[in-house]
Amino acid sequence: MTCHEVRLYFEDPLRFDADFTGEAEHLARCPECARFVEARRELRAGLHLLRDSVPQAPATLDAAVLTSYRRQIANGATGVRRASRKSRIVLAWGAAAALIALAASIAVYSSRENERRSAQIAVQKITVAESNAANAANGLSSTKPALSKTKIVPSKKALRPHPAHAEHSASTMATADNRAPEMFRSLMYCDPLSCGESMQVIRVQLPSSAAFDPAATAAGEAIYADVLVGPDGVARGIHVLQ
Amino acid sequence: MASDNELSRRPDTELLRRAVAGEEQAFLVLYRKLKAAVFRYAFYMTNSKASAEEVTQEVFMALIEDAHAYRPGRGDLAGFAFGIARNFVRRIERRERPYRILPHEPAFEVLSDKLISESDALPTQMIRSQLAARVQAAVASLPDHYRQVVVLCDLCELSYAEAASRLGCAVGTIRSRLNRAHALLSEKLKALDRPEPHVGTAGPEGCVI
Repeated sequence: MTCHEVRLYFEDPLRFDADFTGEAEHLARCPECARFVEARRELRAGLHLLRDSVPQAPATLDAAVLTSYRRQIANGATGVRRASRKSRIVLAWGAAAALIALAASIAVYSSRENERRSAQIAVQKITVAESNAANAANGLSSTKPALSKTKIVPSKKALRPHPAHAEHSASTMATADNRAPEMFRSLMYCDPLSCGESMQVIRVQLPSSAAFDPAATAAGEAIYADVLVGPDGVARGIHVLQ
Repeated sequence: MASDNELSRRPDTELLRRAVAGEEQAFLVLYRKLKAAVFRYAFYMTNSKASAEEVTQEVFMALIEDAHAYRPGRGDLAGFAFGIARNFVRRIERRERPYRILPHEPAFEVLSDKLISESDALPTQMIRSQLAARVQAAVASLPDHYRQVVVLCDLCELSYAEAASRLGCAVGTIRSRLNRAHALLSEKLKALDRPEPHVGTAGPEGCVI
């Protein structure tokens, strides 16, 4: 028998309890294997002793268990009670999860609603500015237009294609290309009004003498104009409304 | 009312059902059937008779309370009781951890050396119990997954298949863990046999003699 065989024999737990009568010769001339076998035998003996030395459960334990059982039965504390307690716990967790889900959905909905509103406001501003300008160009304005200040380049959200806003997409695309509407006259620096940044339209009241065609306006009557102002505050274009 | 003999022939599932329904005799028969295994397991796992009693009592109370959770298709009732016992043992281990005696407590080492040196004067029974105590200490110091297989297979005398069923693993895993646990136990017992070097006995080259 070799050292390897001795180890293999003891490494198989199924043989652990078997009497190992192996090669006495090998154990006599191999002190390492002899120590190994001795250690395993000592362990085996120790485990046997430990197994035999387990104390017996005292009679008081039986009495205590029986008393507890009787009390449990008397209180009806069997599986049903525990089940109801568990179901209550599950119910509480479920309610908490539902509340969290509800709060999350409300938060998501409100944030989306805010986005939608801001996009609508941006588009409405452009629409008002464009319609005023168009009315003025066609001479349809019967009343004095109110002074306003409108950004001509909408936000990116407003540029999102949407079926309801399809009619505005052409103008918004034009402004996205940094080309001002054709009715504006270029004032300076910016010919042909293609400055690279967003501009604002400011409606101003001017004396009639400032009109391009003074004959068309009555003396002393004020005229209105939309002025295209760049981000640096310099006027880039003008469009006289009257 | 059925007699003890008649009840003891009934399957455990029926005994449990009857016990939950309030039939005390059925509960007693079930208790006698499972008590020894539960107590033995709890004792070897906790190394304390009081804790083993506590676990045994709790297991049977939980068995009645949680009877609805038992699924006969998933194993026998003894396995279910073992699962409950295992949970209680873990709970007790967590609770007792701060008070556990360290394995290399110097006072115990001195006492152990003294007992071994005076072994000739001591009765054989005491030496035997000393060996059992050493093995018990070695088993207690094993990692949990090794300790479980040693307790179940070597001390509770379950078969490998039963132990595998209790622990929810393959028979091959039980065998390999048991083999490794035996190797660890041998090393620990060897370490316990080795006399502890005393401080201040260093040789001229700083080596401990």
